[in-house]
Amino acid sequence: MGAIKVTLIASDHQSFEVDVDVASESPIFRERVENADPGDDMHIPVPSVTGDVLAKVVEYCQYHVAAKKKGADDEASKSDDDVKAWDAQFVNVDQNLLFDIILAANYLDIKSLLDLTCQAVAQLIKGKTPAEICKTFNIKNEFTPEEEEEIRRENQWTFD
Amino acid sequence: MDEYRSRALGTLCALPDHLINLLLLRLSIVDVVRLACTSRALRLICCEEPLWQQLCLLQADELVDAGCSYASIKFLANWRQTALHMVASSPKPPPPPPLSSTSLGTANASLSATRSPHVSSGTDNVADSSGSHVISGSSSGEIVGAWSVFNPQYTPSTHSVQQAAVPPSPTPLASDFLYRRWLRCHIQLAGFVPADEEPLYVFDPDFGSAAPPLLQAYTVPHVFSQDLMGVMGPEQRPPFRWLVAGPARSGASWHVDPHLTSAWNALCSGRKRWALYPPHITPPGVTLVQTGPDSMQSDESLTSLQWYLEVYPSLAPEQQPLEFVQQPGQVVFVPGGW
Repeated sequence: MGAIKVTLIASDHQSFEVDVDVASESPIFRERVENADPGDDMHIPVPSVTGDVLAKVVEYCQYHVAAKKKGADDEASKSDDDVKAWDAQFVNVDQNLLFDIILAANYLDIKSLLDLTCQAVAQLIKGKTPAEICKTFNIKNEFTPEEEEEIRRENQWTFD
Repeated sequence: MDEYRSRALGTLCALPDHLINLLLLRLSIVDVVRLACTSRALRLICCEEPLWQQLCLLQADELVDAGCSYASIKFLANWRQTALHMVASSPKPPPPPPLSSTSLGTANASLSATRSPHVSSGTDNVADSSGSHVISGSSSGEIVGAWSVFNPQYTPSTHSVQQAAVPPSPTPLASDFLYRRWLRCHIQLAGFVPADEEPLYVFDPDFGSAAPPLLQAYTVPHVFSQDLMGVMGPEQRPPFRWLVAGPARSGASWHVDPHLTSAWNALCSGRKRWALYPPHITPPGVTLVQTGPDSMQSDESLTSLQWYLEVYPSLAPEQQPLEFVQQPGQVVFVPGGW
């Protein structure tokens, strides 16, 4: 089973050869594999995802498929804490790449990855003041002074 | 436009709105309020009612996870205010649920409402045909009425929230509740219902599997016991029984029951206003859309409320539907095609 390989081709023609069960983490790829004719070369173009983003997606799927196979290949099985720590490290990337991974996870319908990356962005917002949020995401505040005042009054309770 | 978006959303503009929404659901209510203070665009995105509805329910989930037996939500003018109120009021353990509460679990709807003081009925579709009747209720037996449909010995369990019951007696209820996931959370609908333009009308085809005890709460009247769809077996047959509940002004839009079935409808509480046209007549103001090889459905974008307000008053006498009001304890039989 694990011997079957699939080649994923990014928009910039970088290609990634992965096990079929790694690719199958994405229902989109899984469906493509299941509907393949015998003798099909199993090259799947992913024109909306660039190579560096697809590399991250592949890395994520490979790790999680391996983590699910408990103790196979003589490796110690990974604990939930190991996986959590790995995930935290995985999303510790710059914002642009993080957003690109979200878009790819959404497009490829990889729910756990979408969950993880959305949570990572949420983490960037949590506990921050509006000014800090603006700074984090480079948001240009365009409120007039009157609006500013109104908003402050309305939301005073959240700053206490 | 793109330039505006990138200024107002900053780097978040890389994400389409629905993904931004997904992010927001991972924030606390306070974080969403703070994010709404950052720009006009985010203020708009952060004011969407569906978002606040979800945030309310997530907040309720948290209360339950924190050890409350269930969460109680008092609906205020809108979901946003409701959520803000939930945060502002300290989470005290709520009182136990009312004694005769019913519950519904639905697989496909995130919200479901239990019986209301206004309208509540069971509907059962059977493959059969004859004339349309209203059968008067009588607890003394011979006539098929709703009170003989509902088993008198059935009493709703008070300790298990997973048990559900149609009231065995015509007791009007003081308030409505909206349940989610086996009563993890209940919402008083009193403030919710009257304000709504399209009042919630629950049509639950899954009550039998979601709340099996409810099936013991009624018996199919003997005249409807022949059920040709039954030969398909439980796995294959399409939905055939519904628990229906709704407040005043709610209702189903014009429709013909599917698969050429006939239906019996028993009303347990409230009143239900019926309007029927014979099979060969399309209700005025209703457009038909083809939904299958042998079925046409009315375009359901016209709600029953809209129809009554906009079309009904202009009908000539000969265009008017057959009308009657069903009272608690009465069973209405609707032949296929009507």
